[in-house]
Amino acid sequence: MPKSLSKFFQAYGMPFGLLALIVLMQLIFSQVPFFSALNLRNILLETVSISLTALGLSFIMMSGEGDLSFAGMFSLLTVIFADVSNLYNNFFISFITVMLIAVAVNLMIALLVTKFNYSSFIVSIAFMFMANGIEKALHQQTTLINNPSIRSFATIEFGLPIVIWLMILVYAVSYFVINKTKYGFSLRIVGENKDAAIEAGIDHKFIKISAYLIAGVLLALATTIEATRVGAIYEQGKFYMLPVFAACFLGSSMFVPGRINVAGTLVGALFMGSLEKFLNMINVESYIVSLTQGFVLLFSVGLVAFKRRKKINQIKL
Amino acid sequence: MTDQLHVEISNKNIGKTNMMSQMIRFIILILVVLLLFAFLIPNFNYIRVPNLNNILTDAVIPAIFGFAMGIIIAGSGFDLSLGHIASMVASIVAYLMSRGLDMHPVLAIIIGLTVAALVGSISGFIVSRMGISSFIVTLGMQFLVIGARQLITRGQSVYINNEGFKWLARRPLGLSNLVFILIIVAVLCFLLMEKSAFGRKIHFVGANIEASRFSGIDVHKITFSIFVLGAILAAFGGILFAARAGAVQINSVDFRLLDAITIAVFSSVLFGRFRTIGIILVAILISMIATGLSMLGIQTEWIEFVKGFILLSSIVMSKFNHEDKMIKKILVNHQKLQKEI
Repeated sequence: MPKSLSKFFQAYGMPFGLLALIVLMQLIFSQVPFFSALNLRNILLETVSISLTALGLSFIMMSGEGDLSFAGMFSLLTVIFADVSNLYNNFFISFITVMLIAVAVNLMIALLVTKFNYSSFIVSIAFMFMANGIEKALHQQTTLINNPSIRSFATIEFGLPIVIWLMILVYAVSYFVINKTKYGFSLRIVGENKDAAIEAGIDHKFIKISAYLIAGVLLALATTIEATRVGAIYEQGKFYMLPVFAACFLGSSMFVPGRINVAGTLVGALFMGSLEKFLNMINVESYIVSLTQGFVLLFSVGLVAFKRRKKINQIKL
Repeated sequence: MTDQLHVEISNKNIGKTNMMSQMIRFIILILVVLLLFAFLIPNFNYIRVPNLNNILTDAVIPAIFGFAMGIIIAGSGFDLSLGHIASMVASIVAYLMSRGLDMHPVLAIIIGLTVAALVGSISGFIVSRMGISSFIVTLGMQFLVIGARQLITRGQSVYINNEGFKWLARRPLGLSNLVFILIIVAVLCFLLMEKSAFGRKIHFVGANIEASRFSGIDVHKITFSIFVLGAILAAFGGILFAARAGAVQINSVDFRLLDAITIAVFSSVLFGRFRTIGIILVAILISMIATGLSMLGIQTEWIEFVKGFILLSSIVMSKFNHEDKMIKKILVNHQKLQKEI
């Protein structure tokens, strides 16, 4: 059965390849204890916020739009979370504040994109720069949360830290929603072929707006976890922009080749996280990390786009 | 279909007269901003000659970045790595002229621009031959450039001692030399984008790639060359920044990406296509607003927010564009005529 074999390789070759790459690196740099239980747990903990943000972006990209605003919003929301919780000493007040802001901003982007037909990339770039400006005006250094009981949110454990359970739960629910429900089916149709979706009677505007809202909720979760775990690092969002995109595109090269999918995004995010961790563990200089990440993004996108390379992908304002 | 008609109509004389009225309205907007700040800022310091001179000089480097992005947007591309390329080239040029190497400024600038052309040609190649969206390509390129420049310069900031190089930003004639350089660059851009066959091809490819492919334009070559041109122009902006500041850090020009996007999108949304004079006017407007806000005592950090807001409102404004309404009217008439026939 050569045909089904090649299909199998298309779908599952990439995750095995990535795993093989990590194992190979472990064999070369055998002095680094990469595959220890503690280290794997740390990697999971560190990639929680990236993978939640990437999941949000996947929802938006599955509906056929794009988003860059998270790069600015991520660091702005962590700063706001840290500030509000230092002010009121209450986890829920700061969590709800962050959630409301994230959802409101994403709703604004979604309305501009769907009701007025603006290019989602340009609109979200404008929001990214605005968020960057506000963040710079608020603080220009790392802000820490003073209250230890709020900080402990990231370290509560039930076997594994609670945030890892949260991530697994969110991914499981999204996988179910995308693959098994009518809503997920409509979302994928809107992204694949908008005209077909309109003909089939799907409210594509509602679907797109809901994708942006889900992304906002996930972004708020990610920033809450990040702020409680390490505090609000100045301009952190800029450095998350590339891993998040790379996770989505790496994900689209596996399981359902050519399409963004939930399981692929998780694997992509975990790979990006472990790659960065590995490079840090073998003490390379910081430029090698950004060089590798850039290469991974271009490589994974090239892999996906190779079939339709004759057609130039243009961007209209 | 509407795209094709859009091109046809805006290329004809209707666009021209409409462009003039658009321009006049825009100049009125600039005057309103000028008057507003003149009255808001105590002692009328805003409209003193030295300040106006500063505003003009401040607008030069953003305007050159605006040209870079404007050319790329005219060909329906996008480049997120312009600011990073410019920083890299600025630090390379400064490094070549530093004490150990003592290279001649002209040679250093030529080497810097070559490096920029190389980086631009890589992203141009990937966009035009691999079919990947230019957003993603240049996002990856941004991180590649961050890595590469760290590798080249080792993260050090470089001081520039070369007087001949610094002369680029002196003011021997009352106005800064930068203004005259801007005029030269603007004339070149005007000739290239609005008077030459090449510029027309860029606009055509940007408006409708299928139609231009069928009319025999090498769309791959055009898409490739807009990225090279954009990178070279942005790098030139970075070099001018180095000459003005006298010292270069590894990331000192990165934030100019915001200027580039704001100016290019604003101008191309307002005038419907690449307009040299439009880009210069928008650059001056943004420089006026930035100077006015900082003279009012508003933190400089908020200016980034204001620029982002200007970008957003310029996108929103495009829906209420006069030209678009006119085209819609013409389209409706056109359809009516067709039905009658």
